[in-house]
Amino acid sequence: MNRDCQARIFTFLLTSARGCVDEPPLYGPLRLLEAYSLLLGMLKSDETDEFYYKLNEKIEALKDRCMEDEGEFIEGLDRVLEELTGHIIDEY
Amino acid sequence: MTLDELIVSRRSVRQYNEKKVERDKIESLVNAAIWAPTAGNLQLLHFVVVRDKGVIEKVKLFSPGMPKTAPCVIAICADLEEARLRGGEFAEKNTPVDSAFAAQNILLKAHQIRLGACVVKSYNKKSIGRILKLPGAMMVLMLITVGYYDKRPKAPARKSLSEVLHYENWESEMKQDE
Repeated sequence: MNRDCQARIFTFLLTSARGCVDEPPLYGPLRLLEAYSLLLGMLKSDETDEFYYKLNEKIEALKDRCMEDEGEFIEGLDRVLEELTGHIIDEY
Repeated sequence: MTLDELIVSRRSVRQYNEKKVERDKIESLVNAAIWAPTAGNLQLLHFVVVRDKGVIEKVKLFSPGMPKTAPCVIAICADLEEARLRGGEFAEKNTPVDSAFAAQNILLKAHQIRLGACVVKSYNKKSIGRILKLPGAMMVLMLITVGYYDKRPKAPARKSLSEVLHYENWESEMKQDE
């Protein structure tokens, strides 16, 4: 991970940690999803399981739902986690 | 578009394309903000417009709620110590409210001139203040991202009038015959 990426992820995580103290509770999961996408973007694609990129497409679509429909957002979170669980069981 | 159409069709746009926002359009947004009501007519708000990609990147680092690709950011700022000096506690408390009035004018004006915009409240005030080189007690009350967009977000659900409207007192029901 280069210095630019280090600045991005560490600043994002620490600013989010402080922000989550005052922000609506649902912003917490949103920040974690954002961190997932940020971290994934920093990985070398040839060393990264393609599954995580496919999952990220679903996560990207999910982020907007947080503001638009809380119920759908939470259901979407359950779905991506279910997919991840299946992947981990199959792969490891 | 009529005012009603503008109000109803405005959306918080979080995805922008690369097109640069022209200076005259930015100035029309800030001019709309200037005409928003302010407590005691103190007019304490300042608007720092950021278009430099490097500065936007830095602002973004400390603004977890900011869209990925914002070509322009307007920081609505005020000095709350000055507010207290000029208008007491009343002005200090109401200046953030004034920033919301100004923001709504910006959002509607942006929509009228086919720009997308989104209010960002998730940012670290101290960090953004340092990046924007705000003097003294001047602080950022709100960030607004502005830009051109390709896809308009769909409308989130809104409560109906009957759920939120109360005539004369809290317990009354909407009268059908008026």
